[in-house]
Amino acid sequence: MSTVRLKSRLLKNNMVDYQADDPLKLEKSKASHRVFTNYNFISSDHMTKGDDLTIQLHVDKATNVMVHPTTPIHIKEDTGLEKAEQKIQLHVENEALFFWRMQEIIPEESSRFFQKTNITLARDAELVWSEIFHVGTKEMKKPYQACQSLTEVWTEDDCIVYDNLYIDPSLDAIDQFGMLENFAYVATVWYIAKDIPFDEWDVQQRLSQAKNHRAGMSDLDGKGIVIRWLSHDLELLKQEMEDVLSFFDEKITEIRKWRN
Amino acid sequence: MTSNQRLDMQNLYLLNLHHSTFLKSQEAHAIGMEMYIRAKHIKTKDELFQFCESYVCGYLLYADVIIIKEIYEATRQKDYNRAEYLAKIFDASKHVIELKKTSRQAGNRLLERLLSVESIPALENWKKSQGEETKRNHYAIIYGLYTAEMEFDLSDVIQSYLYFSLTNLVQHAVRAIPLAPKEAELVIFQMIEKINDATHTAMDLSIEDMANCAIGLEISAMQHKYLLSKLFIS
Repeated sequence: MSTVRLKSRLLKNNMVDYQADDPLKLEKSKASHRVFTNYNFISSDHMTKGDDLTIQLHVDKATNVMVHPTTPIHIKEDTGLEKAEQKIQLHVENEALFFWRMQEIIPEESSRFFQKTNITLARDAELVWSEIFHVGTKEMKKPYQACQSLTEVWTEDDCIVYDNLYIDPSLDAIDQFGMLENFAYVATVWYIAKDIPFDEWDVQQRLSQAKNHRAGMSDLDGKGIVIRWLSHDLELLKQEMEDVLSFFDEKITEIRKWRN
Repeated sequence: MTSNQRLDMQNLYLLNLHHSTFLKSQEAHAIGMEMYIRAKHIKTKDELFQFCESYVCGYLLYADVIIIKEIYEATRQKDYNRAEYLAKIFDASKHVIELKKTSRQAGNRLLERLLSVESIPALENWKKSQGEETKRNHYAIIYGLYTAEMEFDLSDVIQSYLYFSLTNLVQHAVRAIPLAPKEAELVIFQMIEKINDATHTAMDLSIEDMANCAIGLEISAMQHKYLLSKLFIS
């Protein structure tokens, strides 16, 4: 298990209790930002059967952190029943903000992947979480055995997000209307905050309805928003996600720059 | 009353729960479908069948049905803490605000209506435990609590939920596509075997299997909110 505590002190963020061991390799990036301290997350570029990785992150009070996963993770062939598992446990304290910028997961031939992301937020904490799953190929095939990502976000004893994205290629209806519809990529952005600093139309207008690409957003009952994509076009998908995430960054910065 | 007579009576109560004269319950489920009809993806009987299969075997089975089964079992064991936990995660698993609100609205109406016609301890306790808060009174939750308290057969509970959800969806589709009544009947007839299979599958599923693979439906329901004119409203 790898753990890190991210602590803010005198306008600088520091990593505490950090051993720099696999699978959690974080390093400060050279990019400067008025509000966030930027870290690169240098993971292995692949996982294979039997891998069981646990990452624990703790973000201290009033600490603003943006983490950039540097490489997509390829889930390699698995001929047995064992799956590759990744568990992420994140706690964000009051007034802190954690921004996880676009991790890509690519399940390959015969692989089985399970990811469990458990996030606890203090009442005033905020979270931006984004990820892309490669759930198909250009030939409209799903070569893996299963791909599952369970994301839970809790604030005290209130569950804000419970999303168990589970793709079983053997399911008869998996590619029909309403399901994955043969799209190659599923992507999600969660922004959890007590007060969202923009109007939902500002986000809605950033979502295209191009051919081979679908996107929708919803308010999370006043506790944030979720944006979901199905796409065939990875370039367009990433561009659109980047546009949305940059917009979040800009709006968050406008508010948080006065707090430092 | 013999045990057979008791079973017959229970089946009638279960049917009555779904009957349109009692309460229309699943109007929200047509919201996602509307986008596919508008985009001309669903315009024939076969396309409607395909959509119904995704809806029953991909969406309902791995969301509503699992929660109904788990709530039913928790209520039978009088484990109300478990029921409370299940209601929390079910509420959080409904990401689309229109679906969430409609499901709550239907659940609240079902709760009020049932309590207005008879005394049901499980529902009375539930209502008391929720206080002023009504956000966890989703239709599937109240349905699971009630059917457990009434000791209906779990398989019948799931099967009837799936069947009436389907017929309700097809009724909406017939008007919106539009389709001839006979074609709608054929879709329902074809789906009966799928419903039966889904019911058998459901008996082996648990909360760990509660999953979301109906991403297309979810996106459609999200897009529905921004339509200027709507066929189905929440």
